[in-house]
Amino acid sequence: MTKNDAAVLTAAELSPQAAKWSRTFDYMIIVIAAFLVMSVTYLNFLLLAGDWDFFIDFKDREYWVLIYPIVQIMMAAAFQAIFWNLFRLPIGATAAALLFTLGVWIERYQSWGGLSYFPITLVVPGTFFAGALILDGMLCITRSFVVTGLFGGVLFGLTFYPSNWAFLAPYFQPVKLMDSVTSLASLMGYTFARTGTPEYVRLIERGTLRTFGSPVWVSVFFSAFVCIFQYFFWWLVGTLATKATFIPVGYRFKQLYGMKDKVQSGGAKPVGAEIKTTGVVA
Amino acid sequence: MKFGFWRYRCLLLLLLVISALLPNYAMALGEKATEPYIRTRTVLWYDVQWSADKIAVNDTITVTGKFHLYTDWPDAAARPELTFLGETAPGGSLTRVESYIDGMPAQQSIRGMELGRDYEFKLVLKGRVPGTWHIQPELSVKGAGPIIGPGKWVEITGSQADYKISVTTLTGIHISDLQTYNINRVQAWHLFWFLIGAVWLLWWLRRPLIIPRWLAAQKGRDEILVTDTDDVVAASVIVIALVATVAGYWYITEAFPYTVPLTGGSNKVEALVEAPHPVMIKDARAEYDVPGRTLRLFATVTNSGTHPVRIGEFTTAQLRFVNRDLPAELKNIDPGYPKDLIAPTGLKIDPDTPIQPGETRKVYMEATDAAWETERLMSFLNDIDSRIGGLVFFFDETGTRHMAEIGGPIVPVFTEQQMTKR
Amino acid sequence: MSISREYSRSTAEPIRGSVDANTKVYNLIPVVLAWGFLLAVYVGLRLYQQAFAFKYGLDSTAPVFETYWMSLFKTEIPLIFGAGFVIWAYLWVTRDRNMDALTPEVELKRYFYLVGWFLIYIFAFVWIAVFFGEGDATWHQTVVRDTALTPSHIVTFYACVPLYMVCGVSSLMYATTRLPAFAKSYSVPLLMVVIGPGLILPNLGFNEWGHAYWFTEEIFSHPLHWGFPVLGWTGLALGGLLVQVMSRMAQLFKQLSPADKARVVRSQPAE
Repeated sequence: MTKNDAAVLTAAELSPQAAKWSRTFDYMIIVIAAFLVMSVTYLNFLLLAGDWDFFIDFKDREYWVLIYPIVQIMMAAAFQAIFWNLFRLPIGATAAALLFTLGVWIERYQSWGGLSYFPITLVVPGTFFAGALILDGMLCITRSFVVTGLFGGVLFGLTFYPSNWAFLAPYFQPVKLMDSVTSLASLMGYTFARTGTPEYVRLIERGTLRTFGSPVWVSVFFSAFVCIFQYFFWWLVGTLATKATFIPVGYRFKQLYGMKDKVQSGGAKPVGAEIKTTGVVA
Repeated sequence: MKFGFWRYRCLLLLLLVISALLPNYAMALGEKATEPYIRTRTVLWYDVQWSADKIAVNDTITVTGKFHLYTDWPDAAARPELTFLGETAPGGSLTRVESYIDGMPAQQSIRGMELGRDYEFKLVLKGRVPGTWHIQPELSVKGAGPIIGPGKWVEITGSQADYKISVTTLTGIHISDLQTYNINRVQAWHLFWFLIGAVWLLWWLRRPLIIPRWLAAQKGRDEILVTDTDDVVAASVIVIALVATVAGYWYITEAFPYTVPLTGGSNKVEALVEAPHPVMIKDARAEYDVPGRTLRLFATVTNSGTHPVRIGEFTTAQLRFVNRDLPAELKNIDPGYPKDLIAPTGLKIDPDTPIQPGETRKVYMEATDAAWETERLMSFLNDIDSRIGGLVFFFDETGTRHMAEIGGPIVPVFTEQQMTKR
Repeated sequence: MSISREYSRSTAEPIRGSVDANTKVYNLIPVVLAWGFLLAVYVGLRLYQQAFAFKYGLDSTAPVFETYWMSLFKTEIPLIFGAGFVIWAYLWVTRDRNMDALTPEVELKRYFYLVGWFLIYIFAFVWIAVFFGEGDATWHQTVVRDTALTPSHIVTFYACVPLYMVCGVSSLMYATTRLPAFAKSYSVPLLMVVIGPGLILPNLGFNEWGHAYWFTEEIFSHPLHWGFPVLGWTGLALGGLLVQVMSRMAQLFKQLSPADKARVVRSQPAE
């Protein structure tokens, strides 16, 4: 136990015995929280942007770069809000990234590889670790979700593409297929055919940028912009999710539990009514 | 991910062992659940051929054939504005090497196909997973879904471990096996990020956590909950993340300067040159004799050509009903064609005499087969329009084949009294 | 280090008014057993898919489909919900009928057991949210959709979803039948974390309606599927539930083992 740990326990006014119970409780909550973060982050991403992550031939410059970060920042921000508002723990985004990564690799091997014979190269996942670490680090240093949202949100969007390109670029080397130029990624999608996924189902860029620069960076900047708003909205949702609201039950239920019914309508003062979650620090 | 990697490897191994113990064999895909109006009135396949019954892993099989886009295309299925040629084979059991529609590469989707016209296709597939697979061509139509053609059981022998797909990029890099290419780099990066994330989480989770921190936060004791040391660690994490991102991006763009985007866009393909249609079918209607499992077709045929013709075949929903008394038709059947798709009772025609040039005649055709039920083609009562379609092949005495669409309302009949007397 | 030693040494001394320091507040064995059981079920189902999904599950009209898959469907639904009713009935019948007389010690133990119920519930949930959820994508995007009852759906939606529903409703019932705070009042976050994910099952109606009538291809991110993540978001309300649980537990901690402020403060150097 460090000096700081002791100081926290002292501030909490917990006896050593209570601290022991509390640590047991910590471990249980860590496991629940880990499964929760994993489940909700995964489910959210799977059905809002999953297709772009499943297949290498969905990872385009227009939509993948745009949609992946703005979906992943949702739960990253919500869990940041929960862990920070309640416990001053700046770990929500990293936890989301880490548990998502764990889940995604299990799935790619057992599901795509194990059940339907696809090679892992076809289904390599992306990652939002760089942005998540920056979000958490920034919340920790600034202790302000406003600053984190403005600058961390932008960096979350900006870092996604370069940090993924670092390992995905080789899949975009040019090759020849039936006398046309195509990318290795497109070749893989063509080779390892998916019956339920005809080529036109891919939501990928169908045109070419007609104005300036490298088309992908336009998507990167747009994504970074949307990430700011996503961050604030989902921080708010995370904050609302920690509202410990009780609604008094009626007379009938109380009778069934053998409780004295002091107030017949409206019920007694709810136990949690005095609880208030810590305020939002900006 | 190398973290817990062995666990997944073990699981994968277990799954592979189970797969190995059981013979690989897949059923026909679920085309029977596709509504009859889609199977009889959209893409009508004919002349489909498979180059082999059995291939080894790494060997190729070529599937060729034609399809006709039916004119009376049902409203419930989107028109073939955007289509894609594929094949049904579960998972990655076969891989696609080449595909063509009317001789044009079909890597991309095809736009603007025309109803009433015919197209030719070719698929070259390479065996990957040993087993017996039902291989069918398939035309996916945006908004209508995959429309599956006739299927044949093809056995793939050998071992999946021998399968390789090597490719040389335009920049001269040789990739010995695309199935594993670059995986190490991807996993190394994921592992790198994972470890930093794990360190960051452990940095926080080792402390008295939930209730003590909550109580301290309630009292506003933020200064002991997040300390100066935490700030230093957090700043380090940000710096590592930014440096790794920039350095990784810089390195990879130096290492792979030539990259191309995903191939997108659709192609336009011209339909096959329209053959003359000297024989036309009009005023067709059908009855389905439920207890007799027989489709009875009534139609008026006009031969406006120069040769007398006879009816050789009626085909719909990949089923073929052939006139066994017509040698030209029998010659038309490829010996390797799946037997289960050719009705053994054939097609009864009345009158089955040549239709003379200029003659218009009422013709009755009878197609009996249990497949009407087993293929679930008789759920017309379920349809909102209760119509059936198909193709009829005529042959003249020189053996030349003429094709005509047939189609009209269909009425189910349950008793003999209800049947149209002939 | 010295501080830490001093702090831990003090744990050996019984504190006035507290319960015995050796009192076990929580027994983890039921959770371990439940996890083991659930793990066996899920792994068993996954291996069953491996063996028979592609082999007998591609054509829903075939007789072998009936044998291998429909029979599984027809067995699992009554079995899981039947077991659920037994558990729910047990929790109801054995409810605390005199909650006003609850001692703090028992109440604290019950809170730990409630957290144990949630360990089981969330363990059951993660299998569909991550494991079988993406497995369903593997199925749809590689084969032709022919029925609502695919080998993937029979496992994902009709085994995994009912299983976590049983665990979730049991957690809810445990809380409302044994803990005064949840018996006196409806906990909004508790209702959200149990009912929200539970609604994923009825949401299948919307999903299958869309697929039956107008959505023939499979795109996982399609708006037709957005009901699933929206209902998944209700899981965030575990944050609110945690506040309710820990606020009461903190009170109980202090009631059962009051902190000797002098001792704790002495162990601190001047701040």
